[in-house]
Amino acid sequence: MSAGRLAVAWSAARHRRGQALALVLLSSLVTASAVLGPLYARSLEHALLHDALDRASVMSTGIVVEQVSDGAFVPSTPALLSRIPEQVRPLLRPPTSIVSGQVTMSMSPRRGGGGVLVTAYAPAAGCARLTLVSGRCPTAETDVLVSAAEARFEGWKVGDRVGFASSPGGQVPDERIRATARIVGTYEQVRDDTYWFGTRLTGRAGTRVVAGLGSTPQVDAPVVAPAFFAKYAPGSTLTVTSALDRPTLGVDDLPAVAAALTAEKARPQGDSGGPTITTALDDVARTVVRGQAQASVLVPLLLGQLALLAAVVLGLAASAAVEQRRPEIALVRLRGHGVRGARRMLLAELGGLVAVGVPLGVVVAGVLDVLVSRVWLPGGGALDVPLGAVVAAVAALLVGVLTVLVAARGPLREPIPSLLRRVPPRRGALAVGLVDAVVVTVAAAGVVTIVTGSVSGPVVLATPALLALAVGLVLAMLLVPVAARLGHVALRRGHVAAGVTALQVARRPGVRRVVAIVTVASALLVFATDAYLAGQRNRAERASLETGAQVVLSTDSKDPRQLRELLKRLDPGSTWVAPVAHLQPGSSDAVATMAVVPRAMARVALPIGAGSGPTVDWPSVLASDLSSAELSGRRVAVQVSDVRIQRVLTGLDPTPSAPDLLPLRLELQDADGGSLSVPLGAVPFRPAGTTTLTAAVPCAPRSCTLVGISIDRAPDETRLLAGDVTVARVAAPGAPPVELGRLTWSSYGTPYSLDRLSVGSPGFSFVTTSKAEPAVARIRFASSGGIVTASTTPAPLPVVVAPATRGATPEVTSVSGFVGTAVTVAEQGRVRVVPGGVTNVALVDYDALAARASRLYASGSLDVLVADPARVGEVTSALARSGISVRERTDRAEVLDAFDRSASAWSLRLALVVGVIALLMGALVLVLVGVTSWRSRSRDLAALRLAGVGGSTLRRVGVAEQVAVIVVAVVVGSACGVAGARLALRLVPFFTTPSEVYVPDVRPAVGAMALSAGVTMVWLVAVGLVLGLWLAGRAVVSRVREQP
Amino acid sequence: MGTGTDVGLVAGGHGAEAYRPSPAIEVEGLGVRFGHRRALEGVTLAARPGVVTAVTGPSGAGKSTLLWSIAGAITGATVEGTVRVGHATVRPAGGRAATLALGVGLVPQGNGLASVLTAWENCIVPLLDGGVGPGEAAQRVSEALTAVGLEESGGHLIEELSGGQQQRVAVARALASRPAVLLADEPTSELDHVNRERVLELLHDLAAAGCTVLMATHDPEAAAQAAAEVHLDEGHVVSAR
Repeated sequence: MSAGRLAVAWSAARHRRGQALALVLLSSLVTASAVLGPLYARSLEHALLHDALDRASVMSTGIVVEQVSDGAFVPSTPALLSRIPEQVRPLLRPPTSIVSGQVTMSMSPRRGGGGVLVTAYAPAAGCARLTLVSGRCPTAETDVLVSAAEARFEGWKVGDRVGFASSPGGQVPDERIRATARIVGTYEQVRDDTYWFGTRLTGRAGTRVVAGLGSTPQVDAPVVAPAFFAKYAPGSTLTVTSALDRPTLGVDDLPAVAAALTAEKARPQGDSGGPTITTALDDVARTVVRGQAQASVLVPLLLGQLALLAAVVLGLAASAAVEQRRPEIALVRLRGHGVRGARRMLLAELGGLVAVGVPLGVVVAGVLDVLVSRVWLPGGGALDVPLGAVVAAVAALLVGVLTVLVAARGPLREPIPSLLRRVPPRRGALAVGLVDAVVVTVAAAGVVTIVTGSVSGPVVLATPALLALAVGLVLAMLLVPVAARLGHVALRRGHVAAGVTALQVARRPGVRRVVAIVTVASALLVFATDAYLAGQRNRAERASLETGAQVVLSTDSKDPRQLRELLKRLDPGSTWVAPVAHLQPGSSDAVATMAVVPRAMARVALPIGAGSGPTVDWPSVLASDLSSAELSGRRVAVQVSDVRIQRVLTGLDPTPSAPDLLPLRLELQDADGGSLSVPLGAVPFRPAGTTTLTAAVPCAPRSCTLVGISIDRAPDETRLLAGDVTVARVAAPGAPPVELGRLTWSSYGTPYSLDRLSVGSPGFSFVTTSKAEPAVARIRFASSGGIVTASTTPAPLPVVVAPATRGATPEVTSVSGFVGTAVTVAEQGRVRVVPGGVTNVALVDYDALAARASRLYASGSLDVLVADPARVGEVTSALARSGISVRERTDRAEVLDAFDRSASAWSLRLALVVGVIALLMGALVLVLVGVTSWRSRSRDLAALRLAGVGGSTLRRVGVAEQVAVIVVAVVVGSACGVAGARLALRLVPFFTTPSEVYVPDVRPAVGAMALSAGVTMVWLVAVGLVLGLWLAGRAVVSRVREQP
Repeated sequence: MGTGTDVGLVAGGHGAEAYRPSPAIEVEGLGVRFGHRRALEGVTLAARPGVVTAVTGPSGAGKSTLLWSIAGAITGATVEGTVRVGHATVRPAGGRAATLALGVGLVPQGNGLASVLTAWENCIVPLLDGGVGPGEAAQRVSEALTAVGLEESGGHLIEELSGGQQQRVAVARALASRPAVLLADEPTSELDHVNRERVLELLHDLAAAGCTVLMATHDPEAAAQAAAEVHLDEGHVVSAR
């Protein structure tokens, strides 16, 4: 392009400063939207890495290579280092070598003498990461450094001697390799995980570990010279550790690191005494790489929509600019330069302005990226320009120039007389431009592809923009004939303001584009609002589902009753704390047991999320026979109110005759599930006379369960006896009686009429109870030679089972109890998943299960769910007072925080920014159209004013022309946003790692979407109102004298 | 010089008649200055109802400024002197609402039409907004467009009409509003002979019906047909007949 042409272009730009500025700004906006995508995606990758490393310990991101010496072969540090993949080595800090081995160290008499197994360490760097409290570092094979605490406890001092025996692999000391080492000093360990990799040398002096009935003394680790192991401990281990040099690990290294470490770990580890490599760096790398992949698609797609919108706005501005240059195009062609010359003129002027906007846009994108990264990305702030950003900038430039060429296409083809007209010739009412047709076709094809499921994944994020663009363009096309028709009708009916407004809407060329752009902008904001909220809601719901409660404390308790009682004291109303037992089934194809307190769970458990199906109906888990068979005490008293023997038959052996006494037994099950048959003594055959029998029972402090009442036979009894025994009360002294009437009794044998009793008849028992007398059980029996027992049959416990489909899990009839034995259950319902994100599980009443056995022997754990995080300390203190430790604590807030710090969350957060920018862009379009067309519009209004149309009518026209279009476009755009959300959200990845149990809840956030549509409406209508009033205010009659 | 107390038949023609007082126009010592440029200075004239008064002079003489001042449509100017339409004193700057109420119509140079509306719409909108019923307004517009020979072109956008047609639409719009005073600024400048004659005849008919017609023109023949003529040059009245 010649300097002369550039000078002309510069001069023209200066002549139309406002327009030039608008084009530059819009070009920069297109560029910024395009370039910000790759920039933000890159920042997000850095943030993911930063966050992953921040959350990982030094040990998990470092590499540990170790090899055991078999005595003959001594591993070397270089050999072990060679196992670290070449790609990973430059990312690591200098390695540390430590030889360690297990030895048995002689103890002082104070500790009972003898030896204690301890690991001795010989760091290659000597005492570099030790603080010498006294003495010196060990150098000789017989030197040993002991911890200062150990020395204090044992009363050792420098110069004392300690006996060692080699115990390779913790085996029995090899008495053949025994030595006496001299204490050369005492130390304290410097806490440096990059060196020690979590190895704690101290902290055990004077402690003991309880194991079984005994306990073992613990000692701090002795530090020796490497030469020590060469002689005394052939089974020593050489451990080479290398911490990750975090600043050197870049996001681009991750795929290679993950691949290399995975390959290395796939090799046989430790085979034939070979080295083993341990690291979680590959897991960290894979997590980040997954996030990277997600961000690299999500972010450009979100911002791509914005860039698309900006490009359409730029096209509008370019069209307006070209329209204003119609006389100049005509002039160039009249001068004989032809269409090409006119195109060059437009390219030099408008293309130049677009080109100027590109570097500005790059700078804006960079600044925005830094700002946004600093606000919500961890470790954000540094600008890293990836190749994608350069490509995006070049693409933005090409799109800008192409936009100018497309805008110029029509006017360049027009005949010169047409170009010299004041306004472009009117198109037919439904005339469709080529560009519009292409855009509608592409958009419609895209939407159809997504709707039919031909495409999935993050690409669907483009749905709302595509849908809105297609609908907006069609709406704009339809608006022309509809508005024209409405205008004619209004005028015929004498409605001037409405008529003129509708006719202006139908005939102003800028209106079509305003409609399309405002439709897209509204759709983007509404969709962005829903996408953002859906992401937030799903992260919160999944965090709730997977934790089950605000805080979950996993305890080491093995006593479900003790835990229950403790929590009852802490929270009598069961409003903020709940015990939960997780019991693993005996076989892999059975369901697990989750024992819950329904009333507490209803208040403490968090909702499982709308997408995960119906929530548990907690009352249906409540067992009705709770504690009715429980007997608690050291003695039991049994009242027998009636022994009515109705038939007595002499047996085959009539002698010797037995007294008329009926011995009774109480059948119990202790807290450990053990069976006890307690003899109560005998009752005489005496109708309507109460006899109380007492016996000692081992039912305190842990209670027993009554499982039956047996009718025994006296030692010399040979008769056949049949009759009824009424047991009126079974109770521990001072305790309420067992509610015999509420128990389910099972028959022994087959009951028959006592009249049919004959020698050879089998025995039976049959129990009848009455609701009126809940403590009473009447046993009809026939005893023909053995004990007949009336057994209580525990009623099947009600359970709610997950998953919901029976196909995956057949009907559950029994679950594992606390002692691992099967407990009969009856299904009350099914749910997809239960709180805690658990499936393949049966929810059962905790108290009912605990009543059957009070000791946890099955594989499982007892947890405490806490509804109020502020009261966790209260719970842990109470647990500690009862000797229960918390093994693990899971906070919903922390789980949620982890979800919030993911590529998906950070990407979706950008959606809101995109929506807001779209809203601003919508307003910009209104202003742009207003600024570029105000002269002809205000002249038209002025002409009407001159002819006698009143000022108030003209103000109404000026405002309504803006507002009517905005209202229609916002309504339609919002509907497109809602529709787009329905189409797209089900396929949007809300999480970096998918869940097997959580089903995303993609219901539209109707209220929020309506609110964002309302905000869009108010904002754009306000802009339109101001513009309309401004336009009407400029419609002074003298404007009629101006030449347009 | 009349005092504007006559009552005349306001042109409407074709069966539609309405009467309103046709006031005379009196201008005394009118001076209009746009910044430092004087457009008119000390202009004094009178136009009586029932005749066409021509305002002539070369380009830039101040003819349009004079008509716009009488119409109360001048903006951004310093004005001195007085303009009376009948008994009412008119503000040359910002007095358009008052002159509209007095029935002062203005056919501006060029066309003064809304480009986004059709010829028919340009004519009917002011009528409807002025309170004329839709039926009557439509009838008046049809008559006016027929009177200017554009009965077939009512549905065309202004930009789709030639300059002459646009000028005739502007005249039709003025006719449809049945003015008591019509100020026509170069109403025949872009017309062919036939249409020029047609428009001049319409203006004379209007005047004959009692309307006060003041026509700015530099067409000597048109001026010659007028009953009175005021000749301006560089903002001054240099002659009058």
